[in-house]
Amino acid sequence: MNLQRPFQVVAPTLDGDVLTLLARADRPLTGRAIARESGASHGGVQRALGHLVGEGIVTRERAGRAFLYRLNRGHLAARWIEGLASLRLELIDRLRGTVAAWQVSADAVVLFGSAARNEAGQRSDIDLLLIRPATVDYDDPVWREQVRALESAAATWTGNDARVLEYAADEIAKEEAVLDIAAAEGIELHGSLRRLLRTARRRGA
Amino acid sequence: MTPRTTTCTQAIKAGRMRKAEQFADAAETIREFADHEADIGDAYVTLLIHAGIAAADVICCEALGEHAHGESHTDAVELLRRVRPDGSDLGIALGSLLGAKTRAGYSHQPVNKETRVRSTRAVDKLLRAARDRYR
Repeated sequence: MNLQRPFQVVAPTLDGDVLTLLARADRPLTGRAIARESGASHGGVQRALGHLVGEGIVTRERAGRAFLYRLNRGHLAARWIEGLASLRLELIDRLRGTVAAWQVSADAVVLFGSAARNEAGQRSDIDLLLIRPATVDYDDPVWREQVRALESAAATWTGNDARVLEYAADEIAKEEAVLDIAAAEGIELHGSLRRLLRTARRRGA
Repeated sequence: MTPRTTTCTQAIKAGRMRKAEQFADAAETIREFADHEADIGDAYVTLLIHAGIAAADVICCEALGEHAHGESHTDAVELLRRVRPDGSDLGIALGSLLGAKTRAGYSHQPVNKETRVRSTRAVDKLLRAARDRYR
């Protein structure tokens, strides 16, 4: 699925992108702002808004020479629209819940790459960085099964391939650009990669 | 999720088996001729990864009549896990190789000894299972 455009799962039209922007917005938006954010034409956005206002799911109010649009959060469909618009947050919640329940706890788990930057497309991988405790062997069967199940679950939840990048805690002191990138742009799902890196590099220095 | 697959033919199966053996032989050759195993670690493991993926395709072809298609690591491992009776172990072996592939794609560090040893073991297991089944 495309985490940036979640309505593509059920409604691959501009209406879905317009609803996503309105559901995520904490203030009303002009048609021009929606066109800019969605990358769609102004005419296309106006047609979509006309249809959605007709359905009552979007409200329109005049503000000087422009119109302001907002999601009608009292509409019967609003709850499900808000749910679809927040699928990326739902994914993060599920990943956090899964790794928090692990029998062999990870030192850190980070979602990084395009899904973390909110730039993921339909075919983007779900990139997960795992820091395995130094006391846990790579081949530990419980650990391996947890990792496999996490990859499988993430793929099932999204339809995208999940790629796990795994390091043991005693490997991270070495210069690894990808660890710095994951620490800078990633979403921490479990533990703190930033703290682990600081500690490991202080010890290694 | 339903793994994306391709139906196997005898030609596909034979071709993948040949590649599995060829990549494994090439890996062994460069290891034998290297002065220090660490110097050729990345090339060695890359060849093992290709050998393991091809061997997994042969196993799936023989057991399921289809093999994973495309770039998805999850699809490849999940399909292999369906093979009876040893799919679970074989899936772990393939997962280990694909994990090394992911890491090679991100890291600037040479592959370490632990990964070389682990990848060798994983390919041995997959190749043995492919040879046992291949007809």
